Amino acid sequence: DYYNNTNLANEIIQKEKSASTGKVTVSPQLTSVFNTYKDPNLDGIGNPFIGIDGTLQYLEDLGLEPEDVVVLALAEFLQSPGEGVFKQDQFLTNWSKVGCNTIPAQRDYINKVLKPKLYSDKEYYKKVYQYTYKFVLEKDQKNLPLDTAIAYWNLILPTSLQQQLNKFIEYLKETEVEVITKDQWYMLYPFLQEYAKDPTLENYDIEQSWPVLMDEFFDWLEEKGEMEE
Amino acid sequence: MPPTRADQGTSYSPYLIKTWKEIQPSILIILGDSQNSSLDPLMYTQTYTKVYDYCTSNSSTRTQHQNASDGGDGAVRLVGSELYVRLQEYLKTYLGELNPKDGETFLQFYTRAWQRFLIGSTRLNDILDYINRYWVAKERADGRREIYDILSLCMLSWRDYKFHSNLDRLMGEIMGQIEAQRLNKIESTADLSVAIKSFVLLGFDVNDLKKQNLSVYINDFEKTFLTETYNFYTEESAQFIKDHGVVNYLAKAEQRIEEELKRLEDLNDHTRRPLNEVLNEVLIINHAQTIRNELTPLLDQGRYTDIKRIHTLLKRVPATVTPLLEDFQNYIKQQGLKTIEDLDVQMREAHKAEAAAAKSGPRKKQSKDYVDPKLYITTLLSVYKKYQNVVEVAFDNNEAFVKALDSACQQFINKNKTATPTSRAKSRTPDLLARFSDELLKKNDSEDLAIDELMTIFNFVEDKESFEVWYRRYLSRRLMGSNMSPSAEEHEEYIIQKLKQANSLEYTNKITSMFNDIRISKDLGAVYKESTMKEANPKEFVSDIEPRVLDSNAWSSVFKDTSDSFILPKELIKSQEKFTTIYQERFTGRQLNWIWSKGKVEVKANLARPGKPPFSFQLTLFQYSILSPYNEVQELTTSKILELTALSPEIFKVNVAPLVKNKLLVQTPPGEDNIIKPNTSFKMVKEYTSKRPKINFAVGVKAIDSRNEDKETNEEVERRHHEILKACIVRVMKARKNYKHEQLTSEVIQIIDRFVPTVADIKKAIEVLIDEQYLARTADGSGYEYLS
Repeated sequence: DYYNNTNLANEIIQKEKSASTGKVTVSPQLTSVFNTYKDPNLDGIGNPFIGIDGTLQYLEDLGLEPEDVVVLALAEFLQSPGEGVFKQDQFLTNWSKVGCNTIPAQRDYINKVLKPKLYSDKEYYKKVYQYTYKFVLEKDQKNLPLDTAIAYWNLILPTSLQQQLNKFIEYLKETEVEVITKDQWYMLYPFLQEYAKDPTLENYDIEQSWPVLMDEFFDWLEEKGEMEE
Repeated sequence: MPPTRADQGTSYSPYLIKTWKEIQPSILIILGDSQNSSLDPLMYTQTYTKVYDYCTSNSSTRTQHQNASDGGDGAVRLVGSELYVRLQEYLKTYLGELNPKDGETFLQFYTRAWQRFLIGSTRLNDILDYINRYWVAKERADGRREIYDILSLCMLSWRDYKFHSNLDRLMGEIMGQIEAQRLNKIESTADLSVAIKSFVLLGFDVNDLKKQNLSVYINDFEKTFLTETYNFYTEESAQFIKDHGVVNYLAKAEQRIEEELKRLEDLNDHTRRPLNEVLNEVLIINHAQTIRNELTPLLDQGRYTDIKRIHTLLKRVPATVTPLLEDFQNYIKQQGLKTIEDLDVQMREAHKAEAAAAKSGPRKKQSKDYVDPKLYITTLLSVYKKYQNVVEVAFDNNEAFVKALDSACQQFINKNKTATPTSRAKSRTPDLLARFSDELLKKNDSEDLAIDELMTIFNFVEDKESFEVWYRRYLSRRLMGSNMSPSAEEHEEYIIQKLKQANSLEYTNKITSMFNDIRISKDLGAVYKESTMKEANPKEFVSDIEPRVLDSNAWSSVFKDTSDSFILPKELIKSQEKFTTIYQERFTGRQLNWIWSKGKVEVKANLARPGKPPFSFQLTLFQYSILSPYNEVQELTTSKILELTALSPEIFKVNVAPLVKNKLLVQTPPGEDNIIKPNTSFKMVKEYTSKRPKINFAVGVKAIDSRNEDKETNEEVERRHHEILKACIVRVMKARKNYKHEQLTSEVIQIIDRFVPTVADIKKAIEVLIDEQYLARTADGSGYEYLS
């Protein structure tokens, strides 16, 4: 019932507000959720944030394992700048936008909106996949160390691409690739999709825009193929 | 006997009958009677007058008569119709009764009768001129196209009564004659030519009788002639190739074509084009594949005259030359690859044998690289020259073949067993060419000719950037060595000129600046000397120095020195400072870095037996720094020397070794391995003994790692490529803003002309630019956008 459910009503009003003005009103409930987890210290520019301990507690309260792939979607949703950090403004604004002011509401949102969307909406998946690179990269790193990259690929890439991913990882390890650049990360997902569709890479063309890393993988596969003959 | 009475069914007026009776004998003689009588002038005049009289007779008579005979069509005509019809009938009868004489072939008869009839017709046309001029002209003007002038009437009659009815027989005999000629049984005869030309005169344009019309010639002669020609040569050429082989066929075909074209004298010129086409098809196109297949064996056997024949023949049909070009190009490429492959094996074996000999025999320096640049480059050149000669001898330096040669050479010169052991390896040819040029220039017996040959290979080198980098590396060694003789400098100059011509001024900028650096350095040395002499105490300075002040951009190979920490012996410091001051005065704002490892010193050593002149030692700067403390002490340990000089142990080791080996220093405990042990001591001898007054200790210093230098040069080439590519991509993207990968790649390849970038090179440059945020991938990843 629309009028009797004040929560829902508020939610809708807030949604409309945020849609029309771009500003949101933060409910005290949400602020208190944030305060539950926030770090005793301020961040580098003097703003409150949720640190690593708070994050772990927050995830636990949401019923999420840290290695759940949906955590990446959550991180993207809250525009986390890196692992174990949620900034106050992003946390409050983004949850307010969807009107989830309590832990149960947020849990529902994660399970009923973010999770299904991750599997059904390709564009959204791609966004989360690309965001992950930035998210995982540590402050002083220019490129992602191979081990980290592999760990997160295994986490985020769909199981339907697991076989192709394994082959690719085998190549990276054998040729002692040390880091993965952002461009290589971005292009791996479409590449693995192509690879899954064309298992012998018959139609692969190095004249196309694939990064050199994929070209070299292709050569490596070809050489291996020759050795097996 | 010719008839004198009218055909049945036609009733003539009495006047016509009378006139015809009077003129018929003359007409018979004109056309030719059995006695071949000749017409006397009187008869001629009389006939002409009779015709005139007839045509101009009383108009009422003729009108009346005309009306009756025309069945009332209402047309008023000039008199003449009856005479015309009568003549037409007469010609039919006359021709019908002309027959071959005994023993005469039909062709002979036809030719003879035709020639006579042609004369008769012309004269008949003259004598009946009045009809032509008045009656015929009027009738045709009224649109009666079936009325002809008398000459045409004669030709038509011949065509209808003598030609068409005998066409098969006539053509049979004509083609029989032609075939007999082709089989060399008979010579060409006049009969044949006359008969064939008769076909031309028998064609008419109904609307314009004066216009030549080839319909009869084309339809009744040419078609058959071409078909039979085609059939004849199809059979003959196949048989000939079977019996005598393709090579002999080439001359045969050429000869046949010549013969057939000569035959055109007997034919109408119209046949020239179709005959050429038939001959080209039957003699060339149909055998082109077979002929082409001969190219490889003939090249193998060096039979260039026969190859020239192939070219001469196929050239007639340009489309057949294209595959020949491909074969030729491919052949050269394969020969080039094969030759280098053989050479590669040979060089590896020679290198192995040398290594074995070096082990057992006296120790000789052997390079790690098995490739002999001179052998490699001259072999490339020999392949090029061999086929350049073929192009000249067999293909008359035809432009297309020159191009095929160049393309083939470019392929095998840049990529072959030695240059690119793996398919993705960077070609070693630029390096080897630079090394070869270094050998030539060092020996200084290089003729201009040899340099020109070097340039020949240079022009085929795809990666000109790489050559330039390698060339500078070797040049820096030549320039750093002893002074160049004027003639050597001339040769250097000559090469630079050639490189400049082949590329651009910019290409040789760095090379030229290296020579400048040497020149300026000499001047600086002179300035320094002058300035030290003005000092209060000149003894505090080294009097003669040979500085080398080099631009690090051009001399990159010189600039790798790990001995930054080196401590210059104190007696040299004043000189160094003096020079630095002089330099900074002249070139403000430039930084001077000292490359200690390149320094050499010549010293006088007072170690000779008393009464003998002092020795002259040539040392590296490091060796000098090791020896310098011995001015004060007799013995030093390794750790002390390292402390005084700050040399790295490896450098110390290679520098001290020749001093020990040549018995200037006595090492305890001895042995190479002990050199770098801290407590090993080195004691200087009190008196040095040597037969020579000059001793060069510097030559004994081993290079630490020369392989490294190769790697560094290769890296420099890579860097150059990478920078050029990046600049090029940015330029293109700046203009295009948003561009597909494939388009970007192809545009970049088009722009860059000094080397051929690989796909991977381009992609790496793109990826770096993405990383540096000059570019971003478009959403679908298949293109890029320029980020300003």
